[in-house]
Amino acid sequence: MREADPDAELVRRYLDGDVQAFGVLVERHERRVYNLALRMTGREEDARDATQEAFLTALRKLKTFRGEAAFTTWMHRVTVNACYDLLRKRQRAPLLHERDEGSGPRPEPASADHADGVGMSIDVRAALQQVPLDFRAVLILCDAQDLSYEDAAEALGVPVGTVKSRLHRGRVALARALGSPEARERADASGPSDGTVT
Amino acid sequence: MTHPEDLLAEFVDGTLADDQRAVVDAHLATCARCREEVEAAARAVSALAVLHEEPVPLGVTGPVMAAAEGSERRRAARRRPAWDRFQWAGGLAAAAILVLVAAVLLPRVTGRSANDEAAEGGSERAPTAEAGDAALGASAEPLQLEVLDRVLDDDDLKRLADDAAEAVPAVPEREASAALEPANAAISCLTDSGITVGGRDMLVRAIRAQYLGTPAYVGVFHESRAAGEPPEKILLWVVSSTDCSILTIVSKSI
Repeated sequence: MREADPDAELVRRYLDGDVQAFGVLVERHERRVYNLALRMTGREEDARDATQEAFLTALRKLKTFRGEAAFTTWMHRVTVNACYDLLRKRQRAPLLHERDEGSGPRPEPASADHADGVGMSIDVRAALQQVPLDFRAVLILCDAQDLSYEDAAEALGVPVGTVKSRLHRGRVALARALGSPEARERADASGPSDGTVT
Repeated sequence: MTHPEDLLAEFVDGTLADDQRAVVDAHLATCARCREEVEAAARAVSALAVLHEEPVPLGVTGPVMAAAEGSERRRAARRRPAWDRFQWAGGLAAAAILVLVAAVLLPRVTGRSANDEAAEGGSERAPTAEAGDAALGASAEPLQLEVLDRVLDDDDLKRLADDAAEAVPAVPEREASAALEPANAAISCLTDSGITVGGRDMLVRAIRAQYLGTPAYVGVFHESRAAGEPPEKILLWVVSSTDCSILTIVSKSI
């Protein structure tokens, strides 16, 4: 039920002048927003910019959030738009296989297994960049961010039927970008490893 | 042959109704292309399911919160009733008296005359005249911009905040290598970015340096609950010196 949505309550409190409520919203959503941006843009630097821009836009436009969609869905929409804007502005091929070194502190991998997982994530992220943007957006929302077809349609402002056909096309394009059977075996063998996996 | 493309995503997800699944099954029995696509789509789903979730790097959402606080302050200032503004003005008057007392006393310590101060000061203070005096703390020395020829990172900002917290309420020591300039541009840039210089937030240092490679002004503030009260927090505002956008904010309780 929407009434029970804690985000809706936080939005209401922020609109009543409680800045801390916005802080809580940011804390609750920053990880999803950042990872969506990272998967859309393929670069940590761009993901940082898009995340910041998405939250600043949310700050400006929160008044227009009417609570008809869940805040999460709305925030996904704002983030996808920030990524589209950023990618349009940059208009350059994303650097594949970039490991985002030198762009700020980040935790070291905890173990060899974990490091393999990170490496594979980077392969998948790089392959995602070869998927046409409209397909990529649907693919990430449905298969990486776990939105329903309906919420993805809402977030992208397209019909549900369009989401389903783009999702299929996007999946096929990603599988082709991932390429070799060896890479596929690695992907199949690894499986979910810990709680940080979406 | 017509391919049931609109059904294939749901076929892979296993969410098709029985009758639609039967349609796809029948098609796949005769269409190698769709069979291959369904296999590829399933591989893509597995690959995405193990996509690692990255932690959010430091400093990404700080500027957002700074902007939220800045916009709330502007809203609050518009909402503030006349009586509050009157009281706030009273606080400023008290601060101005403190500044005056300091102006008389300080030259004895520093060996500089009050006239020297006045000649150098004036234009180098905050854009809002009264707030400017309060912003400079209980010192009659005009605030000068410290120009550092190096790149600051988040650790440097933490150190600056720590220094400022220890130096309350005295003026913190400047880096020996810093060149000094009038601070007008830095103060107006900080103001543009949304912080009200003076009142609750007394500007104790203004620094020009690079922050993570971006030319920036760093404003070090003592923040109190209300104008004239002792500071409770150190606030570092880091803004781009080219467009005055907020790069990050650091706050530390005293």
